[in-house]
Amino acid sequence: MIKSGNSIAHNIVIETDICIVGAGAAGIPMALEFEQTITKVLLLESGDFKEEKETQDLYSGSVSNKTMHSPPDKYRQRRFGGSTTIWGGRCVPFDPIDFERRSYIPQSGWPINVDDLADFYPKANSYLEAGYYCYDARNAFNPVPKPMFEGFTSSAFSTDGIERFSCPTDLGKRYRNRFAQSSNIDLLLNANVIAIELNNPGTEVDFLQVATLNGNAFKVKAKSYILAMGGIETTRLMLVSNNIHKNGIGNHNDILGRFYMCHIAGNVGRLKINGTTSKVQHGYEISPEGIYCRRRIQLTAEKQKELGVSNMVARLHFPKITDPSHKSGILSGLFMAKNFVSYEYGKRLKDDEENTLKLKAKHFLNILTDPFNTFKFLLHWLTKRTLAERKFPSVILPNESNQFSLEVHAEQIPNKNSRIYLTSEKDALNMPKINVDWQYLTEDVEAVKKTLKFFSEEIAKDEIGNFEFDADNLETELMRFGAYGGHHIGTTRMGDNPETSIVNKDCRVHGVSNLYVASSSVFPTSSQANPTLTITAIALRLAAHMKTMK
Amino acid sequence: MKSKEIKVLVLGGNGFVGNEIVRQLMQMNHVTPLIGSRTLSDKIVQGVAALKIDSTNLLELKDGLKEVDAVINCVTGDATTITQGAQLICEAATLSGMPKIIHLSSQSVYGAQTGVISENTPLRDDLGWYGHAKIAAEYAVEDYGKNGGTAIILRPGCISGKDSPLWTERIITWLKKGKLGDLGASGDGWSNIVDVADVAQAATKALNVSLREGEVKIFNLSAPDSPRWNQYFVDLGVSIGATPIKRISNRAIKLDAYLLGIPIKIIEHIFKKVHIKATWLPHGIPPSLLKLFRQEIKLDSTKATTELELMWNPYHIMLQNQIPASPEIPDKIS
Repeated sequence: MIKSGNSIAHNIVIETDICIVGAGAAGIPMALEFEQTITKVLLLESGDFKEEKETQDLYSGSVSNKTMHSPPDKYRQRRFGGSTTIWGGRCVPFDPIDFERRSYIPQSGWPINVDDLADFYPKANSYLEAGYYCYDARNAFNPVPKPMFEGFTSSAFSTDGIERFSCPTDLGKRYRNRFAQSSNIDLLLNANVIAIELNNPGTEVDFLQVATLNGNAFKVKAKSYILAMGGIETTRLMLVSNNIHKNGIGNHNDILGRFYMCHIAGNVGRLKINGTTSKVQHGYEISPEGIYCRRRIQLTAEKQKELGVSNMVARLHFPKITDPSHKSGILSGLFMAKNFVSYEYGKRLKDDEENTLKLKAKHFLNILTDPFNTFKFLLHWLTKRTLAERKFPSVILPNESNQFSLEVHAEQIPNKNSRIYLTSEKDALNMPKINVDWQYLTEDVEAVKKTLKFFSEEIAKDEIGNFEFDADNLETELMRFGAYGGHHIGTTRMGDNPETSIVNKDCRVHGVSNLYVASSSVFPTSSQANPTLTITAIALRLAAHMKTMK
Repeated sequence: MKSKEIKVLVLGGNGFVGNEIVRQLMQMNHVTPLIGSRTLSDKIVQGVAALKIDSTNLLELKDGLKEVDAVINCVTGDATTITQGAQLICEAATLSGMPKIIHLSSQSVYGAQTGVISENTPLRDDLGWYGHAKIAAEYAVEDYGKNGGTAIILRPGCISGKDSPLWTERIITWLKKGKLGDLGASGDGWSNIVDVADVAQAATKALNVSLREGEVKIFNLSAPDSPRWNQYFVDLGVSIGATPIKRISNRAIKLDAYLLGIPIKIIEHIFKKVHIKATWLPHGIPPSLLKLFRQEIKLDSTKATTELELMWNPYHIMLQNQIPASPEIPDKIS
């Protein structure tokens, strides 16, 4: 059943078995796992079915360095479906090495391993509509496709790993009907949790304080509570709820809000492959179930350990878009249209070059002199993306020269000084806003540098081409746009030791018997992978755990 | 050769489900199957006696039911055939020594209800003529019980199998033509798919169920691991090589159903009135199916598992059973 928090009688107490806060990539699948059971589930969602400015403003806050991190109300959506209403759809599982304690990465190591998620990744893949759970190009396609680079024999780099793309599925829109028809799962919209009230010793949640922007207020009392509000908002609510635990719930050792991670990302260097263009598989491939997939270049786990580097991947990318010397009408068209593209995707089109009239004229000339390709691209974009329900994931140019840049997406090493914290400014519900102080380490850049240098050597060794990049300027390239937007990781980290972590391996807050977190905030390390698939998988694992409890 | 102990008449024994039931009955040592069918075609299972019986003809039914220990009714057709047929079968059985009746009904007797549906869920007549006829047929069987007869009613979900015209053949046709695929929210309902082999297994096991005089038992039949419709379409499409599977928007499938499906149904109806077979017409997706593909209805088959001791075919086996020349099913499906 679906209701609005505004329809609930003022000051009443709603009782339920499980209360999940936040209806996004974690909350929606988790709630649906209780379909056809006798467990009563209440899913609280701050927003409505569509974005509403007043609700979205509740996400506003500040950042310490605006060039390094986007404002807190960007890349996040406070409405039914959460940020899956705007995501790009890239699905990739974490690698086994991501869960390991690595001596060369301080604070690495999860209390669970990849096998603990083995039952939940396929299900997460299904909820996110990314097809069969198969992330190896050699098994995902029929017939087996050509290798990414013909003649590349390196045993240190894998080019068979793939990423799969969701539609991208807006989980709210996709599963709304299930909530409407369910008799044991209630979805309550417009319901903002403003405080978690603990019992007096602080060992158990007593109830949640809920408020609506229209002035209604009520309480929710459950046997178990799960916070699934995303990597920033979950932490904010725990910091705000400081009646009993004075530094915020579970924050006895100044860990809550710290170790904030995103990803290190940027377009780097120039890869030239010898021979004909047929020797490179650079674009999207479609699996039998109809899923767009793409190859990635990744250093093997063994070699990562040998080199002492964090995890990263690279994809083949087109030349720098802002530079009109690429002569591509398509890229110039994108450059000209950048102001019409959403913030989340337009940001990386804008670069930091001055947008002069002369520059615009050069791009316009590119469009005029490359009309056939531009038209073909626009038609493809219209039919396969704009009008299609399963959308072509991104711009891919025809490979005419075997020249690419590498689009790097790298793990960030946990750093205690990178953090989010409360400020004195309050939102419309009188809750303190947050400040994001995202920081990276020199070691993050050095790891990427080492991996790219080694890739360059491996390409040269096989004599299939060459890869060059400006090692001295790498930090500038990777930090041109700061943290990769939308990936909010690590602020309620998982661990066995309550002194160095916030939740245990079951995602339960240390010392609080009935409070759980299902969010990327529990990830102790960030992997090379985009977080959504693992957020959903870990939420499904938590749902399975809850089912085993009496 | 050892003489058979009981004689079982399978009405509709020439059809898709009836054929499978007869085949399984032949494997049972103590059973002599007998086929009753309106038409005796070359589809008749070899080695089994067959009678020409129109289930809407009381005299033919009475003749067929002579010295029969049990009758399995898997006759289908239009509303009259379903309803009147069931009523007359019960009447003929009453006049022929009250044999046990095993009646194949359908999940459509539950109408548009949602949630987990057990056999105790009240029936709902809101799915058009088919559901209405199936409910009326069940009432006739219930009345047979009230008159002292014994009966078992089987309520299968959507019956699949390589000769299933509704849930395999036409789905494969639509998949190949790209009219069906992954439907997103429009295909999110439970399929309640059940292998025809499992339906036949239930019918044959029902013969051994002891019933008190006047007792009527009901069993839902849906494979416990039957997936949602989208999963079924994708897996079946991949299995038959109708790839890559298309994602079809709600708008596109509605256009297909309402702009094409309805006119085709009307033309079919007109041709039927003048007794012309319109097999050349394309298969439009009927709008009623769109509702089914979204319906959050899950048949609970626990009772059939425990009381009939059914050994269900796993989903990936059920898929393999549907493919004419079976290519290998990818491991990823199971």
